[in-house]
Amino acid sequence: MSKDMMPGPYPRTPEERAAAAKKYNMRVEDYQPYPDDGLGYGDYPMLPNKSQYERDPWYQWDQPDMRHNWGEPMHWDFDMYIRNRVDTSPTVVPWHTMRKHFFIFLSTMLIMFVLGEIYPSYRPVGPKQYPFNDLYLERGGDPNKKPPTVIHYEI
Amino acid sequence: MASAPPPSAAKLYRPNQYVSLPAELDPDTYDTSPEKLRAEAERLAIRSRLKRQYQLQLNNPNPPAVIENPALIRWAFAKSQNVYPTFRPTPKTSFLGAVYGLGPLLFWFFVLKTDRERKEKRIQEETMGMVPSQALRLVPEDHSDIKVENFPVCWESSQCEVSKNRSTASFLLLHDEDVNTSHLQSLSSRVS
Repeated sequence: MSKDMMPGPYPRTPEERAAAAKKYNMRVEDYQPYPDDGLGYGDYPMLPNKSQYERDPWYQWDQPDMRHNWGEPMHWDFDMYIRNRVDTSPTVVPWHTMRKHFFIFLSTMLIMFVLGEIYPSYRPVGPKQYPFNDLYLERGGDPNKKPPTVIHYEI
Repeated sequence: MASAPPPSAAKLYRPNQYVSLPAELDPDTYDTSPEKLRAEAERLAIRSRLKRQYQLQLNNPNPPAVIENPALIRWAFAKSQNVYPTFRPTPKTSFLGAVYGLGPLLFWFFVLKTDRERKEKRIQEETMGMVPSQALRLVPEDHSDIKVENFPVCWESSQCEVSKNRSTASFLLLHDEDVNTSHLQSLSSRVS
């Protein structure tokens, strides 16, 4: 592929824009480059941020799994928008409603857990009672000596 | 004064970068103006031309080894080799570079240093005025060297030398006390 078919710097004049639109197989009215912020996009077109999930599943794409036609300009984040990854399909419930419900639930649960940590409540407990004379042998006591008797009960 | 009309369904939906507007709520779907039809016709012409090129190559009796997709080549080039020539230092890019480059570094410096200073302060408070031998005694006991012969694994009590008529209860020992003295673990290496 020749050099003029490759992406280049940001188009400044209308002729450059028309040439860039033709290069990317787009209409001149559709072609919209990324704003010239110096971030490294060049003249690459800014396509709508929609994932490949939103494209028609019943159309005969050239690449059916990618839902992409040969020669069609690819989104800058194409590898993010494939069907195994990010999906921007419209949801049944609006996003702000879902977000609000999620954060209400999350914050309620977190507040309750934090309160439970600060003010714990449990049944009364006593000190732990170990058998066999407070584990005399396991703590390294001499097996030849008689261990001190430890009785934990009262009759 | 009459109140404003109720907000449209598209406004209520509020699409953002995570979800797009459904086609049913988008007014463009119901727009049948001639400009839109002409635009669609032009797009269709471009699409058909590209499809024809592709199908001719695909169904060629002598097909080429690899049918290159110029869009893919351009995309890969733009993302890898076109970034440096088109990059320009601006206030925004310099600021972002500093934030992403130095930010995490300084953050971890601060976190680790503060953590170490806090531990050091706790050690100093606990061992104020002590001789090293006294301070070492504060290090919690390490039960990992409990001798194996004190709790043999044997099914027949006659095989065991020790504790013939009971099973071992030493697993009860492996619970730590409630006093948290883990910050004193480093004392033994510092004093010696």
